[in-house]
Amino acid sequence: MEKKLGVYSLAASLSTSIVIVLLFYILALQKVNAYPGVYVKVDVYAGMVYVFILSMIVSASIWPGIIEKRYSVNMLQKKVSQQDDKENSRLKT
Amino acid sequence: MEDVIIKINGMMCSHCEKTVSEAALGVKGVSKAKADHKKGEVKVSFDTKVTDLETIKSAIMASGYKVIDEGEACPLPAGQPVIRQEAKQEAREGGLKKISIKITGMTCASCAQNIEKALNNIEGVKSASVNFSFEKAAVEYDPSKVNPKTFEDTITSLGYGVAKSEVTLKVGGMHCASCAINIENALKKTGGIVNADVSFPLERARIAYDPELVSVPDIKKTIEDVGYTVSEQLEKSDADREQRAREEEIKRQRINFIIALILAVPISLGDMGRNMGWTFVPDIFKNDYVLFILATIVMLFPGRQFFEGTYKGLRHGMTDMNLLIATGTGAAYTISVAATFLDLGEAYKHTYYDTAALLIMFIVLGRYLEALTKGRTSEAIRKLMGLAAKTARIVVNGEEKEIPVEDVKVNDIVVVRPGEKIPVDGRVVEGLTAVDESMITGESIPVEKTVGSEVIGATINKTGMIKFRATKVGKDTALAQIIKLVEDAQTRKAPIQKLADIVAGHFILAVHVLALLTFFFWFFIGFEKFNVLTTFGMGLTSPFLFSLLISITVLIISCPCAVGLATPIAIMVGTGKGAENGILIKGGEVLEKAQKLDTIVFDKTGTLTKGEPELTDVLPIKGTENDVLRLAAIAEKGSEHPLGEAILKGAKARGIDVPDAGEFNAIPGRGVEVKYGGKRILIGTRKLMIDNGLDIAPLNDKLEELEHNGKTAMIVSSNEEIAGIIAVADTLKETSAEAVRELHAMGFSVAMITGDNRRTADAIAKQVGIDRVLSEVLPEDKAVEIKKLQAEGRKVAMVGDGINDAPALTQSDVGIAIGSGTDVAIESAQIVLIKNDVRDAAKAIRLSRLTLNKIKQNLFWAFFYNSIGIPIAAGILDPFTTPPCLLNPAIAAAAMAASSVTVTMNTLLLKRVKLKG
Repeated sequence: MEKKLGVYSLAASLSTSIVIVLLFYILALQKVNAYPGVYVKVDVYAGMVYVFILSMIVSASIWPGIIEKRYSVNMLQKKVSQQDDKENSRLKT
Repeated sequence: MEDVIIKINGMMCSHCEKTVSEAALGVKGVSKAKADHKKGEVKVSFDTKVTDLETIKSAIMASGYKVIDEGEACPLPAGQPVIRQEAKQEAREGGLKKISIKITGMTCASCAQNIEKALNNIEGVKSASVNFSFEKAAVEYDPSKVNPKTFEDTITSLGYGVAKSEVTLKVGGMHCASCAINIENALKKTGGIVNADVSFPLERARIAYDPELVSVPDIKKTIEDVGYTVSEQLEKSDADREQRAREEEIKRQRINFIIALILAVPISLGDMGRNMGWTFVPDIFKNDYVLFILATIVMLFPGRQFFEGTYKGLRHGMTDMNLLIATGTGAAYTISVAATFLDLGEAYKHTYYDTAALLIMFIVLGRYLEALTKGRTSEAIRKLMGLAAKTARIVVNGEEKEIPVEDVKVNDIVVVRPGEKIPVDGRVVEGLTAVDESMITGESIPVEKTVGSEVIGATINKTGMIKFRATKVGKDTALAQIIKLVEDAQTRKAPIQKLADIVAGHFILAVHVLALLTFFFWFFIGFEKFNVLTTFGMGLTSPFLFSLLISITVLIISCPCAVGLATPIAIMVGTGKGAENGILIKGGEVLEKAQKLDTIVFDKTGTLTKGEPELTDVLPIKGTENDVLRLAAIAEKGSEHPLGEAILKGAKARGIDVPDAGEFNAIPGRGVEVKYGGKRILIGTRKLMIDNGLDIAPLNDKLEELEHNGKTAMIVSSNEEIAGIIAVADTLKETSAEAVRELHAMGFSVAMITGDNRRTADAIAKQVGIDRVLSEVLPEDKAVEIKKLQAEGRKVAMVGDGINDAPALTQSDVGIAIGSGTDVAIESAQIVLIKNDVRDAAKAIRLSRLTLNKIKQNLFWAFFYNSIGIPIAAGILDPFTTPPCLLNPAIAAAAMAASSVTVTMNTLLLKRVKLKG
């Protein structure tokens, strides 16, 4: 299960980082178009790499905790509802 | 008079027997008490008019042992359970966890039921069952709502014990408080580990674990896996090993710094010289490829530690200050390498090898200075460890033989010549000498030792040769206990430190977010809005490079090292200084509590007074003073009562010959009756005389006057005629009045607690200047009185020494035991004064205040650096200053290193403070 949680965390971190990098890319392209002499493609690509590294560090620190917490709450709710169902069916019989 | 046998549980040895007997004898009215640990019982003789069985039982329980009452279904367990192994199992199932806890102190099935009920009442516990036979509780719980610590607290609050094993390991390779938190987190995630406290400055981890589920090698592997080195905690000859490890670290960082310095100079000159057009710099240093080679050496050797640390941390999903430095230097280096080998356009002709090299140089310098200063903060422990003797000379078959001190066994006869160190603790069996105990007690005057005196290991024999029988060796010696106490105190975290650790732990993440935001701001808004192209020269024509440099500066300046160091380093120095002065402070929490104290309560007997009554007055009615004293001494010769001993001692001091009397009869609570030379001698209270038909009316004024002065007056009669009055008193220690005066000057309200009657207590209090007297307090009610003071809103410190003080010491906000006190009192107290000097109570409180102030100063400086440095690094001043004020990443690295060094140096000032006595 822990391995699964790790995969979820990695996927969530990658997705978050990619979204941030895309956001950077879109905004940076606008700058390149608006100020062609000042902003060049290299700035955009280098910036994307840097933004990806930083956002990956940040999201990889945040997501595992969130996913683990969510998972345990869900499992608890599931367990409680399963017990309720069992109890109800026992009462019915 | 009644004789009873009380069944006791928990006695293991003769020491336990002594403790239980003393506890029973401490109760007024108990004349005899003899404990037997093999039979698990104590025989007590007591006066039913003065005390009752329950009072005696309470006193025994207060000393830490269980009283087994056959009529009671579930005997109340007392503290100090026998430590056994805890068994704990974890099973993840649907988010619920299962834990099995080994419980001590249960004596019957209803104990198990009580615990079960309490555990089931905790929110988050799905089910709990306690098995009395296996002494185990199985608990299924929701870890998101409750943690095992709550179970432990609940069980102990019921009066039972939770058993676990503990190990202390030496951890190497930590660079900041985040490292300590990372190790703690990794350990806590490991199955079988109940609790872990990791101290960064002390480089030590104290781990409570379940040996059935996890072994010490497993624990060590967990720490190593996260990227740190670990070794077994120092058992013996630790001073050398610790010193060596520290010297190695200092050497490693010094070499790193020298390499970084030698290479950073040409790199900086070359890189900057090219940009600034400096002609004095040889062209070879301006060559990109040469700069690349030099910078690569810096990254590979002095800089490698940061990348290795980052890699090991990230592998386990952990971040620390290495990541900040690796990100910063890595970014500067990578962009420079790209500019060297790729054609990225006009704006990317510039390289930043100098930034990377200078960053590493300054940070390595910081680590080098930190390693140097950190060594000085733990000097106290090293000094204590260094006190231990290396060899001992023991007598084997009548011949002296020199052996390593570790090989000395209990009961060995040890020979110590003048000038030599006493190797272990023991009792003198031959010889007379004076011993310098200043290294242990802080007392500068040598103490005389004769046959029967106790000697302490590590003290120095000054004048004569002695032979003594070893009573405590190895880990049991006073020195070893002191070292353990100080080490434990230094590892234990203060609440304020926990807060700082949390801040430091989340700081790295916050800094990366801030660096990202800063990068976005300067890339998209700042670069264009603040006209960077025209205001900055130096080839900064690329918005990416400009934003990157600012972002790197933010990363570098934000290192939380100083925040993480602020508290533990102050606790280390504070507790170390205390140990040097004979004051043992058990942990950082005490420092905070001591800060809030407003009332100091002194136990009277043995604390303010010497605890031994002395003969003070002899008032003859018939005959001379010596005649009356002789009669009294004859009567008391067979008595073991302390008052009788005082009279006998007084008579001997006056050179009076005291013959043996016949038919000794002790009348409990009243006095003594003896027959001598056909005469009937009585000594005792008014009641004894009245019962024997003697008229005491003419003596009343004198008796009252003596009692008013805090003395115990006794009437002596011979052959139905009043002979005179004898008075004894427990005299005050010379230092008591001064101690009270000092505490008053510090603004404390000082109270005294005693079982004496009001008049006697008031008289003593008046002599020392105490403003509040709690008199006629039964030993078992001392804790209640402390509670009452606390209910008035006071923060109370209790100073005491006896077994009966233990509950009051525990009840008080800060318990202070004086060194002459019993083991139980010392165990119950949070501050231990090794010297038998009450003035040290004021010193201890002063030291606590000083240390806490130092912590606050350190935290202020640490946060000040970051709160000022980060906005400047992020370029907040840039729009408002001309020329624009931006921090160079190298300057940021220097500032970061300076913050840690400032905090350490500020703490070291504490060592210079003199604790006035």
